[in-house]
Amino acid sequence: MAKTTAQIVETDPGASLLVSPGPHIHAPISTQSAMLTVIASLLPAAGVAVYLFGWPALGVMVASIAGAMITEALCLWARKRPILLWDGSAALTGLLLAFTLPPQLPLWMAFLGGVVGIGIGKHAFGGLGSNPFNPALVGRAFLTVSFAAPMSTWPRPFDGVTGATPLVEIAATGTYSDLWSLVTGATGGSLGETSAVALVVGGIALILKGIVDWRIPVGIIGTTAIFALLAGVDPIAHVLSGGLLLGAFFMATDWVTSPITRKGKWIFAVGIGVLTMVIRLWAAAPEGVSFAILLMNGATPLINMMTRPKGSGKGVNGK
Amino acid sequence: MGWRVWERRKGVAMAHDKETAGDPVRPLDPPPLLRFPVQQHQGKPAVPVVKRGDEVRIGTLLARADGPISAPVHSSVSGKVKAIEPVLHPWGIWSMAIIVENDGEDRWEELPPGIKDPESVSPEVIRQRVQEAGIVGMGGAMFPAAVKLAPSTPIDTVVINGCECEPVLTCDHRTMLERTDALLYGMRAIRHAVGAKRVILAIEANKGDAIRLYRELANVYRDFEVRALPARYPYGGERVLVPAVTGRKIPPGRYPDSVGVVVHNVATVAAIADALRDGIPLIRRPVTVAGAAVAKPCNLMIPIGTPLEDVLKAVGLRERPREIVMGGPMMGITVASDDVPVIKGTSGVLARTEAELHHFRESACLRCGRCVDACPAGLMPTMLARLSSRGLFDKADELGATECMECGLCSYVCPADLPLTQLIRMGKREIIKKARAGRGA
Ligand code: SF4
Ligand code: SF4
Repeated sequence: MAKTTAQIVETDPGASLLVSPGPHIHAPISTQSAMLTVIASLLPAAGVAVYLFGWPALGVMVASIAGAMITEALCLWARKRPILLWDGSAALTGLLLAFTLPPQLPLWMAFLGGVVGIGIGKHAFGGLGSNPFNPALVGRAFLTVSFAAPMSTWPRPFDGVTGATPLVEIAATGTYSDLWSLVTGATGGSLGETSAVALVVGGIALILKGIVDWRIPVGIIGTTAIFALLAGVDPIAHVLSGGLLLGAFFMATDWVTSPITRKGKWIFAVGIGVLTMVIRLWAAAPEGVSFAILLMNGATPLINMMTRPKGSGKGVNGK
Repeated sequence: MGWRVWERRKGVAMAHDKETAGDPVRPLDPPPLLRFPVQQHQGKPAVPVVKRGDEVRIGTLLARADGPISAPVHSSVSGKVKAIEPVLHPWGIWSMAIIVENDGEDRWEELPPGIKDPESVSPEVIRQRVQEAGIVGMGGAMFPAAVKLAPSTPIDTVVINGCECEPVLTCDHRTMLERTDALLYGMRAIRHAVGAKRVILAIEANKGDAIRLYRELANVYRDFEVRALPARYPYGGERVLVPAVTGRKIPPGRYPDSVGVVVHNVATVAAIADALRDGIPLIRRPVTVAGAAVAKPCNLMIPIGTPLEDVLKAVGLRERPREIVMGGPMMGITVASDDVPVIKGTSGVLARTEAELHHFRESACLRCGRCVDACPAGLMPTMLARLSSRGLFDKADELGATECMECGLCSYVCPADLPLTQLIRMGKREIIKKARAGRGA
């Protein structure tokens, strides 16, 4: 990229003017500001989690973020890259991972999830911008496979008594008896996924800030609802429960692992909606959002290729 | 034309920073020494017709056009030719220039008689007068205006570009507000010259006063229309402007005339009116002078040939500029020295400080898609830039790199700070070079 770097041209003695190619201004956005904005938009849901599940929830978040950030620093150091921890991307991965974990998970497991998410999910593929799969979901997938029991122990809010999550009831009956609890989040489930209100508020803020493309959440939620209707189950229960809103607003919209074209984003979103419902209705697992997103992450390079805009498609030297 | 309501709005809404919009254009006194490059247009350089020691006056021909795609150059002061030598040109090249010492007496050359009504003369006369006046596209493209008045294909629509979509610049806006007569006259002249049925004045919605003014005038004169466009960059770019106003898409590699449209910038229209009505050649132009290094940003009518140093001295500097941009912040070019003169295409002089600069850097593409969303040409900037930086120009060509209009938006929106436009521009140059070589062989 040598030709684009600015050079200094000496004019009169003592004065020098910078010569650089345009544009000469930039939009008020950077990787760091975007990541920090996403983290800020997750804070309402984090607050609800601590309110519902108490200090253990905070512990899980801190452990997971610590695992992610320490691993990020070590990997950058080992790969001889500048250690840019404050770009916020590792902290965001840690926080998102924590949101998908049971609130009373042993802290070392949460820490380990952060380590795996960043180490395997991100740096093994070449670091920021090169990872095909959402690192937070890679961390979660690892924990689910390794620690099946603690990863499926869901305490109820406030009293901490463990029980089934709403998804189990929904899977059995097709609907849920207490929809209002899904809206507020006062229900069993992963740490940050239970409160629909907090997630939607944060998600809409990101859309308005121009960081999240509305097509992805709208596509996922719309597809899920339509699929549920066609399958004869309660669409509202399916949209509000489990990790669907968290996934639709915060996981699937990860810049790096979602398609870059608008058409691609629609395909990606519809794919996630369909896969989620297929897993929920017909697979053994009650929840399918995170695997649906991982699968569509895998399809993203292909989607990008298929939806690539190429201008008129005729180059001047072209065939 | 209701269907166009559904068309996706192009480009990006950005901070306009047009703080000089209320600042009337004031004339700048010519400096003691002026430099007139023979290359102030696209095409062949003009040929000097004066020699060292010659007396010149305001409006004296200094260099004549060389062939049809060329433009003559006139003196903007009276005085003496001091030298004919290469000077540093805004484009970063050395260009032959006529150096004139100003005697401060403001004596005028004898001017050709004015034409009261442009429709009373033949289109040929208009073209010739515009050619002789050295008028070029003053929006920055600097294409000889007379060529666009002699279309080789039938033209039914003239679009007058009053968008001024670049942030900071306000000189076109001021021209519309202050030079109403000239614009009305010039629009009539252009329509007559190209034989068009319609004249459409396109103005971005952020210039409400100009839109209202010309809507009222259009109601009275009924020989042109006003179209308000979204205040989004780059609606002033021909390839976005023409489809937005006429619904006709310009095929890749072609110009607006291929769809029966010719586009002139408002400052050019005013210059055409000056040339026809008063016989005055293009010897001065409105320029927005701004940037944090400038004590008081303003609009000035600057004699062509004035070195930037004198311009900045006249407006007063708050601190020494780190960078001087000629044109707007998106598509303008930086100059290597303040010796560089104001030329016919200079719409802005931005003296910028370190704090204003943006440094692009190499970092990882986050695949956020913002550049793809922003690109008004419908390209995939991230991929084109990567291909260009790796030297894979054939592949970049296949993906439409030459359709890039170098608007700068992809670089502007990229959160990873990648110099996308810069890389694509470089790739485009290579592709065009190769195409030329291929055709030559
Ligand atoms: S690729 Fe070219 S046309 Fe597209 S946004 Fe970048 S500079 Fe503008
Ligand atoms: S805007 Fe920058 S980071 Fe985003 S896709 Fe384009 S090149 Fe990559």
